[in-house]
Formats: sequence, structure tokens, C-alpha cells
Amino acid sequence: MGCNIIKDKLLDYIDGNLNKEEERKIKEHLSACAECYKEYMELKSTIAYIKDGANIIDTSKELTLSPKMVKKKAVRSFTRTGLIAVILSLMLVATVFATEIFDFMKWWKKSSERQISAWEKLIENGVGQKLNISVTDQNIRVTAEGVIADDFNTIILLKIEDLEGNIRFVPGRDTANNAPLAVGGDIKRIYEEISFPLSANYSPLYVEDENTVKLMVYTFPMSKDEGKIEIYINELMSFINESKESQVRVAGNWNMTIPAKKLKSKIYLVDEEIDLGGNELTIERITIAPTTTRIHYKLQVYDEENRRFIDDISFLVKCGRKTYGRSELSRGGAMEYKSFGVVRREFDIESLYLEEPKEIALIVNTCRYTSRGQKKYHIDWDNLPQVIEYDNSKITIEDIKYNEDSAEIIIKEDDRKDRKYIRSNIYLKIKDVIKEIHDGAEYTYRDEYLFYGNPIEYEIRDSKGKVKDEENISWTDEMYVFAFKQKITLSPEDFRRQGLSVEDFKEYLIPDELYIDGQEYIEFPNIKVNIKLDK
Amino acid sequence: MKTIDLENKQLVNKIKKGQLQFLVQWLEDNKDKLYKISWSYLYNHADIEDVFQDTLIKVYENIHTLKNPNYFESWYISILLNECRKKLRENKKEVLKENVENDEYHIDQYDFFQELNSIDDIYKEVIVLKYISGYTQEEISNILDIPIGTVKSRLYRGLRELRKLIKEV
Repeated sequence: MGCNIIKDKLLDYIDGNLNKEEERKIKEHLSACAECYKEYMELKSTIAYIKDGANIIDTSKELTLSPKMVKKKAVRSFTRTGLIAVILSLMLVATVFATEIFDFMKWWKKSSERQISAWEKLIENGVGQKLNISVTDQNIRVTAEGVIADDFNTIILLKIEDLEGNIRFVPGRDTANNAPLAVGGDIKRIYEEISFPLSANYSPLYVEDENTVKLMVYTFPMSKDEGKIEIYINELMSFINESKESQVRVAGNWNMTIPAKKLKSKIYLVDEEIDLGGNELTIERITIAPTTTRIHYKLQVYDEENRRFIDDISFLVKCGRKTYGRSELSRGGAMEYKSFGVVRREFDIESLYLEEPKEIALIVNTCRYTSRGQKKYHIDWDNLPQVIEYDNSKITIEDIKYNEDSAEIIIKEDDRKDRKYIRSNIYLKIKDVIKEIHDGAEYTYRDEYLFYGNPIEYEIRDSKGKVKDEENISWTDEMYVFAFKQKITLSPEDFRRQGLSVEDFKEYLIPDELYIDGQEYIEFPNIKVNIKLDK
Repeated sequence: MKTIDLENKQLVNKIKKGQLQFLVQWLEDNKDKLYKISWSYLYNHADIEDVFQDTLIKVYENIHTLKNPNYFESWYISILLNECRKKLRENKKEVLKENVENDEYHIDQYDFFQELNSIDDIYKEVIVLKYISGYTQEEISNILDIPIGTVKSRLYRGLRELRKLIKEV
């Protein structure tokens, strides 16, 4: 063996990965060749050096991870776009059934109009490209009507028409469990490890004709300034159904490729500091792109002095006489989530691309925050109602109701007229050991399960404290749920959902302790800063 | 009570159902390796906690894109590495912007990891995975999705780069 071959094999030699014969040859060579021997020793000492360095790492420190936070986060973004996203994700599985159709149609028409008009305003003014590319299969025609691509989003408008029947179809998950709608081609891969084509979000838009649905498809920005986007649809399902059984599914091939051009956005560095009642907020940049006006901000989430943890803030922009709210065309920017320290987040406002503003007024519209601090209360079941105190508010554990195999605990929030908080975070904690048998082996896990209270008596209010009619509501950032009474339910159903073993259910039916972990607030800071966009 | 590793498939199904306590349990079981990887990039506990939490969310949100559950660990680590790099970039920006010297970290181990951080990332990642977390060349090839030959040559180049640095000191 020559020196180069030996050097190639040195690492495997050190690892002991070679067979006896190779090992012997290398040993022989090393004892004869001073240069290779030196190389070998140096490699060995470098590896030892690294391993020594790694030994200093103290891996015993406890990591506080919150799997619940993941779910909580999804619920928190209960803003308009968030709500659409939540409803859509439900619909992907269930579509819409008879009982909800009436209310749904009203809401659907309204929210569709907003999205379509935002889209049309751009496309009619020459932003993005109009298209007319269609594929027909199984007597269903899918047409790409247009695309708007910028640095944050690529948005495609599709039309799905049932040519022989009268069904409104949307993409469905096929038998191979592929994404209902996927995109490929020149779309940026944000994470290499995520399989390509990427599943794309979409929202179905209402069209008068009963055989037609339009889809606004949202996906990542393009990887090039000009290129092709592939769209994959392999199963369509009926969107509005009388019952689960009446749902229609059609398999087919509605794949297509469309051309697209990415439009440039304008970036303005701002660096404007705002004092948000103790929490520092810095507006770092504003980007004006066709689909959205993105506000990049930095926020100190926790104010230790006031024990105030900011969950979410929202903005408005005033430009000329008009006020611009949340973007209809963007699914929102990044939301870094941390319990302490400084986060960087992005907020998407309606497009100002056509206006080309030189100056805008940015308004901090809402600020939702939670007071921090967990308190534990012993429940005195024999002497209800029981009044407990949290942060100067008086909360009453009113009653516990036993049904056949469930328990409901009713909690009344502070009933003073001038109460500031909108809702307490109340929960019961159940510590459990779960055993599972799989392939003959027994697995054991220990965990804590939280059962949160849900408002049962409440009002939906706006920034002026006005009560809104729940039936006809279209949610905006200013609206919030003001709770009067909450209920915590313990039922086998909830146990199952949380992954608790149902057999042990009875044991936990009378919990001893109730927890309150903070109270939620909403503020309308109405702080206005004028920002010049001149560079 | 003894806790045994769940089979990958079961774990992946649990995560898909949103039962993240099983993922947290898995993290706990593999903490040593995972923590060391993150430490090599960030060398401070608070950032590592953030990165673990962010990875948890990414994994939950994207679990449906994982085609073969047997590659769960490789897949998880590739996400973790990405999150570590992201955090590192943020930290660098922060330091550049505010021009602060991080005095509290000026201890021996800081020097070591700073050395490690000064070699090119493509060499650093293989070294971290191999010699700090103890993955085999084959596993590394899966995690980074590069051929074994490339893993070998990068390990070799990386060790040489690092050796140069050690010698300079």
C-alpha cells in the first residue's frame, strides 16, 4: 500500500473499522514510514483533544420543554387569518357538514370577498401574471388563473369546476396519504430535510356557481427570479356535504406546470424604539412587497417588574386617508416564541405596493399579555362555593357536577364591574403513569396532564367594550372573549384525547388542587409613530 | 421504573397525533447526544433550551413529511443542526450589532468551542456528530444526506484544519 491509500484508511484504522488483513498492513506501514506515523499520531491526538473538549459539556442540566406550548401557540393566533387556517385544517379532514352549512356559507362569502378583492386589485393593476392554463380529468377542470410571487409568498389562484355535476370540489388527501395539494419546481426549500414537493396551504373561495370553487394557494417564495412552478393534485373531494357518507371523492391527475416571475420588494430600515408599558418594542424594518407590507420587529416579551408576558401584538398602518389592517394575502410572517428575553417577529399588513407611500403612520393596535405566576389552591369540596384570590381578584369555585361518568367543575371569574383581566388561565393537573404494551414489551411513561377551563359564560367585546353578536361575527384583532364563568371537564373522552389511560379515570374524578397560572389581558395602546420611507 | 425506547414507528405516530409527551420522553432518553451537538454550536444552556423548543415545534409541524419512520433520529438531528446554525447566525448578528464582548464565557471551554466554531461548517458538523456525539460514519451519511466517502474526506479535512488551529495556540 502506498502512503496516500494508508492516509485514506487512517480514520477507519483508528476507529477499528478495518478487517484483520488491512489492519495488519497499516500497522506494518506505520512502523516503517515516519511521515505516515506522524500523521497517525497527530490525528489521534486531535481526536483525543476533541473528545476531551466534549467531556466538559455538562448535559445534566434540566431542559424545560413545553410540548403544550406547541398546541397553545396554534390556538393563540386566533386572529382572522389564524381562524381561517384553523377552520381550513379542520375542513381538510371533515369538509363542511349539513348542520353548519348556513352559518358557514355566510362567513365563507364574506371572507372570500375580501381575499378576492385584494387579489384583483393587484392583478388588475398589472402586478403578478394572469394565466389561463387548465387540466381536465374525470370531467373536472382545474384552471390556474394567475400567480403573484414575491420575496415572502408565492400565491396561485386556481379554479376547480365540476363539468358534469354540481359539486364544489377541493383537493383531498389521497389513499397514499399524500398532501392534498403540493407544489414543486422553482419554489424555495426553506428546510432541506423536508420532502419535496412541498405540501401547500390553500383557502377555498366562494363562487356563485354551485359547481365551482376557487382556491387561493399559499406557498414559499420562488428560488429564482423567473421560473416554473409545478402543482400536484391527485384527489378531489366534495367540500360541502349532507353527512360523512355523502362525501364524494374522485382520484385523478390534475398536475400542471405554470410560469412565474418573482417581483422585487422594497426594504426600509427603520429602527424606531417604542415603549410598550415597560416592554421595549423596536420596529427594525418595513418591507413593501406586492402581497404584503411586512413589519419586522423586535420585542422584549417579559417585563419582570410587572410580571407581564406579551403573547401577541398587532399593528395598523395609516397611509393617506386610509387605514390598512392585517394582510388578506399573506399567511403571516415568522413568530419566534420564547418565554423570556427578546424575540424577533413579523407582522403582515395589507399591500401598499401600488400606493408607493413616502410616509406612513404605524399604529400599535392591540397588545395581548398574560400576567405571570402559578398559584395552587386546595379545593374544599365540602364547603362550596369557595372563594380563592389571585392578584387581588376574587375567583369562586362554584360547583362540581357529576354526570354518569364525567365531572364538571364550574368556576366563576371575579364579578366586579371594573375588572381589568379578560380571563384566568385555570387548570387541573393530573399526574399519571401510563403503561403500554407493544409487541409483548411493556412501556411506562410519566407525565403531567393539564385540563384547562373553557369559558361557558362570556361576551365577545371590541376595543370600546361593545358587546358583539357571536352569530354574525367576523373576528378582528381588537375582539376578545371576556369570561364570566369557566368550566373544566373531566371525561373519559378528554382522558383519551390527552393520552391518559381511561381505566384510571375514576381515580381522578375528584381532584384536590386547582391551579391558576396567570390572567389574560388585552390593551389598545394606540401608539402612533410616523415613519418616512425614503430610501 | 424502567423506560424503554418506543419503536420509531410508534413514536412517529404519537407525534402525528400531537402526543408530544412521547417526543419529550425520547428527547430525554437521547439528551446526552443531542445536548452535546447543540452545545458545540452554542455553548450556553439558555440558547440550547430555545433551540430544543424550536426543534420540537418544527418536528411537530413537519412530521408528516417524514416518509420513513426509521430515519426519525437522522431527520430530527438534521433539523436540530439547522436550528443551531440559525441561532448561531442570530447570535453573531446580535454581537456585531451591539458590539458586546461576552466576558462571562471566557473560560477554557469557550476557547475550545470557539476553535471548533472557526472551522468551516461542513467540516465542523461531521466532527461534532462523530467525535462529540458518537455517531458512525454511516449514520452521519444519513443525517447529512451525503455519501460515506464524503463523510470520510470531510472528517479528515476537518481534523487537519482543527490541528492547524491547535498548533497555532
